[in-house]
Amino acid sequence: MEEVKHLPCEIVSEILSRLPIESIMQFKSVCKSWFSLIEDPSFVKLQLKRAKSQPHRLILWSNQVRKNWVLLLDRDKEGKDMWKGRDISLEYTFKYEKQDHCLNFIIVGSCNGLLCMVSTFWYGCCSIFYGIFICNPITQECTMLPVGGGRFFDGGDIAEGQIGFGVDSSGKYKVIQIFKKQSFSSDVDDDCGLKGEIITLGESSWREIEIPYKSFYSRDDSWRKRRAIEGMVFMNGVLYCIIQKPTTHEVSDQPIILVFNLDDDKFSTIEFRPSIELPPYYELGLTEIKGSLALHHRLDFYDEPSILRMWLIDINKSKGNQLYHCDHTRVPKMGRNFFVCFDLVGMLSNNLLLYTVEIERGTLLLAHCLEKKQFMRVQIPQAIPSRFQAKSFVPSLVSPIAIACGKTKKDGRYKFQGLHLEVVGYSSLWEFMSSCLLHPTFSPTLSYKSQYLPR
Amino acid sequence: MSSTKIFLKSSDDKTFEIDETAARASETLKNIIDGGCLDGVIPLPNVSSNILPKVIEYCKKHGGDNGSSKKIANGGVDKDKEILPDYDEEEDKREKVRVDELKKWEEEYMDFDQQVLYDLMLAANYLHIKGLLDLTVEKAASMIRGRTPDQIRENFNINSDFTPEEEEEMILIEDEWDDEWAFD
Repeated sequence: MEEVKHLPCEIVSEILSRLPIESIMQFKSVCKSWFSLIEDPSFVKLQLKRAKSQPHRLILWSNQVRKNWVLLLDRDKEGKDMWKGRDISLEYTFKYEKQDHCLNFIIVGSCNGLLCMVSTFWYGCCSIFYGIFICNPITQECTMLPVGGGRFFDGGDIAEGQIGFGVDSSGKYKVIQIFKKQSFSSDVDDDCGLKGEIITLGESSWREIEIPYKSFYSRDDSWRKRRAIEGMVFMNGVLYCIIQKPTTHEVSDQPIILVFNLDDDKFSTIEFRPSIELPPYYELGLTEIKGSLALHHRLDFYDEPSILRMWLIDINKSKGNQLYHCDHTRVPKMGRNFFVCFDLVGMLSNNLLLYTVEIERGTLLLAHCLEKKQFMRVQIPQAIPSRFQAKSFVPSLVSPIAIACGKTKKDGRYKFQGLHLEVVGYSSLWEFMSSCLLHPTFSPTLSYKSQYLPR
Repeated sequence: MSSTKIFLKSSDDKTFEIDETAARASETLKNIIDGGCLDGVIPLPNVSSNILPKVIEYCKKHGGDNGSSKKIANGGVDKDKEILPDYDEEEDKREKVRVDELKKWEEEYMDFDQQVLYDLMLAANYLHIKGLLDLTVEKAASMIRGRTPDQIRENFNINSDFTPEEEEEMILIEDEWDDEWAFD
């Protein structure tokens, strides 16, 4: 065969950007020019653009006793309900009393291939907040955000509050925390305002932001009414979360949606027409479905086959309160369960919705084909923990470190394998934590124990 | 639009004829035409006579119509349409037929060997024909999907220029992202 001519760079990047992330990572080792091409910021941009238009991937995670477990899932092209998974090593440790301790984490946001993770560790029987990380599980890069205004250290309780992660139109990645202003000394059901803090990735401290909405609910309500720390939904430069409708006189269970625009840092709300009957706010979940915001009913007690309800919110319509009751599906009964919790993970490709379902014996991943109105349980070949959570994910090569440091990754180094984080210069955790408390703007330096390769 | 004829000369001095409307599918040719530098024949020193007819065939099919080729690039379905209730079903059906027909044509058109594919990619890149570039690049991507770096080097005639130490590190990356899924 005639010798193949060398293709110009722009064509090679066009080809590579259309490949799955696994191939791209592998083809770094083809030659030096491919290696630097794949590391180039313009390629990172191109790959992200293409990956966003592809069906999204899925990340499953679970905190196990000594190890965090993360699986990058891909729908098998040929198989019907057998999906393929790939273990991703995400190990975060900190040093305490000269020992490495593993951090647990919750993934609260996923945007452009970056994950926003809240990390905690067990101390005695308490789960203590450690910090917020932004990481790219593909490139194994990770950066820790500065510690916020002390809210989480205040009571040690991270059960309430929400964290959102997204990117604004100018490409700035922002993290926002919303929590209730609450007096811990008071036993009365007080009307609590909401408090918010925001940080742009790369900044050294959080800014407090005013939230002009109140939230009314008593502190000792049942656990169901306390919203667990969970991600806000990010869509097109805007973050959304469900809050309780503020009323002037009594406690209301009606939901409204709190909207935060990342471009101008302004809040607004979406209210629903009273004619639409919605479950109470604490039974609803929020997800993005192909560019629309969707509300879904999360909780169900059932003895009979249950019904899944979903409402699509048309944000563009005037006043933003249009709801389309689009889905109304009977779910097959899954064993003898008294209580089930559904979570809509999202729409991965056309006509395929994914749910995680919590039942007595563990978590199920359920695929819902809209066209055939069929449910099927997603089978994963790997051994997986009985309980896990899932988030839709667009794999990318975006570097959180480059964004945080304001540098491009042109210095020709790369990292591989599991990443270990270690707080440098603080021999004990308590010293570290107290220094955070005393200096809210303190930003710890982290060392990366991975290996570098000089070009 | 009037169908003025334009003449293109390949690298090996053969002349081909193309309608102006078709030629406008190429950004490069469009600029030449609009720039008014039409001096009878446009020389294309980077495109040979066995590739140029292929390019012209594509331009004829797509000249003056970028709408439907865009639809295919987006996956053929407008995302709003499937979930929001009010849209014209008839229009959607007609659009689907058009898209299907174009897809079939593209399938037949793309039936050639790797050498032609490379030349066509280069030509599409040089002439700035976005649709053709997308089509050819997509095919090239599907050809190398799932291959090993070794196979890629052979395929693209690339020599690994890493030092032995770097090579070792690379093998680690390769292994980590090996496409052998744990199935069996």
